[in-house]
Amino acid sequence: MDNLLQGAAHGLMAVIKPIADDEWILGHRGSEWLALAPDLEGDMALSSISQDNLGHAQFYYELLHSLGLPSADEQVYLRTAAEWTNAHLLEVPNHDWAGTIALRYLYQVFDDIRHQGLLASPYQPLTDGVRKIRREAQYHLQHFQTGFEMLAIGTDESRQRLIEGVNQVWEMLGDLFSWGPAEAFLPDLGLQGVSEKVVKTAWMDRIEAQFRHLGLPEPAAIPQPALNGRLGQHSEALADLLDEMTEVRRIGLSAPW
Amino acid sequence: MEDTGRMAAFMARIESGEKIEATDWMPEEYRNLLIKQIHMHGISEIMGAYPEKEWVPKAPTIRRKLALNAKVQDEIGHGQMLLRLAEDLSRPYGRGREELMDDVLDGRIKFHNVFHMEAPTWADAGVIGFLVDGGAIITQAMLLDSSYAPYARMLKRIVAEESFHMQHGEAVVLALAEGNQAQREMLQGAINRWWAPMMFFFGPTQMGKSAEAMMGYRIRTKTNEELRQKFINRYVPRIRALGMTIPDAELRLDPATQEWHYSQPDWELYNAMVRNNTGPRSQARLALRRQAHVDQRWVREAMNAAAQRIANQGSERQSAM
Repeated sequence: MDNLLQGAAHGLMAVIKPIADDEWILGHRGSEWLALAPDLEGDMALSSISQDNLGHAQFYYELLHSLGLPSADEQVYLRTAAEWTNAHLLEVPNHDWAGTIALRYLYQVFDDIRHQGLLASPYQPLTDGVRKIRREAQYHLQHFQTGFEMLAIGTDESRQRLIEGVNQVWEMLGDLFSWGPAEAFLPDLGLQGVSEKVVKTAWMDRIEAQFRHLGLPEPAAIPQPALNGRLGQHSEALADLLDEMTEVRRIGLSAPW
Repeated sequence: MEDTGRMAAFMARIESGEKIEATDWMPEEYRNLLIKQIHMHGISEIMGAYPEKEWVPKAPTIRRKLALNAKVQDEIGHGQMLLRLAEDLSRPYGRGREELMDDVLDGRIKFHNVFHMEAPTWADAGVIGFLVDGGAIITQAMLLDSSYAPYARMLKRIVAEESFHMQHGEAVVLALAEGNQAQREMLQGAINRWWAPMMFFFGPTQMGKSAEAMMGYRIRTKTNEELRQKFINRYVPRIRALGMTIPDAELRLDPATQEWHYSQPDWELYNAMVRNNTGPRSQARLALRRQAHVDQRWVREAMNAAAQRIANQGSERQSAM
């Protein structure tokens, strides 16, 4: 923990946790697409991205471990749903391909803005990692942005399905930008650049411009969250996901695997 | 050159150990045997992704989840590379990726018996890497000498990856063998399930007509029985070293011939399974493939339409300049 004050460590953990959880759940849901993508090339690309997401989560969980939480494996496999802080829209079962591309594109733009803001942190172990992760995440953004644009200009069917996908995802956007209790720590951590308001505004600007460019219906306002995942409020879907994810591990919690 | 002359020259090249390239003249029988072999191989890699894919969401540690995800990705990658070869060979017949993929759904191409089987426990996910990838390495190592150069080159890369898969499977299996009672029982159960299908995997001792023809053209270089013996020889000591038993009371090494005696797998049953897609998981996995390929044809159509649109804009811009 070096020269980190006790209070700062607490705040940092509260900020890093939802990022780790977002990436893990994203990687988990992404890996459910294995062998199910519309073509083999796209299958491999998505699979590679899922591995990156899981790897990013692993980095953040290890950082949290260095700040005092249990091991990365224990954070992933031994927490109850209420202890997870991922955004609600990431935990729901996978949409069709258009919905998935819509979700991923909207998330990657958010992730890009969040990363930019995180680089202002004086905590070097975090910024070193974010810098590395960002190199991969930029490819992810490019990949899903291309997919999004191609569906938008492809056929009438793909465009219609993309619009439906966007609408489905949009309803669940509420808590993505929320930090829950971590918002209060942001100024002291030098992280005002990732505050809910700043990120939401920057995100909305980029998304509106893109929608205009593609001639998509103007996006609605971001809804208030019905459940706030950042506060540990989740749908049944997360409990089901965790149940499945830990099914094998529970045979022997401390056994070698 | 007339056909008999070309044919004699072709066979002389094969017999002198020369390799055939995609653009070389080849007899139609050779082309068709290659398509049959490589198409089936590619499709089997893709269908082989399903039994393991089921276990990625349930992998018990971060490391295992990453490794299994990467392994399934590799299998899809092998399928993609092999289908590229089959696409080149099928060009004279006007058949491409869409058709080659449709074939498995329409029952025109078969896939390996092992991928029709259930993988009901985490141990199965490990044993597939350990035994099935291990078996595949043995058959594919023989194909490295294949007379068809593009296939041999591609297999070099595939075999290198399969050996990582085998090591991944072995690591999973070793952890279970050293684990608690429930883990060891799970492992023994999986070995019991996979042994007989693996005996079938290498094919009948008396090889069929097309397997014989492939030997003649040196597309393959070893008999089914030679490959099976190699497999048994390699795995009997490994499985016993894990403290596990092999579910075959007839299994013994003949000291005189140094050949293994083993119980015959149920040839009738497995043959019918492969021929008619009637294995315990055949239809469920084909349904997943249909979901990917047929139900999402609209995505590929959209991508093509979008690419076309972008290309048109590019050429319009160019002609305006």
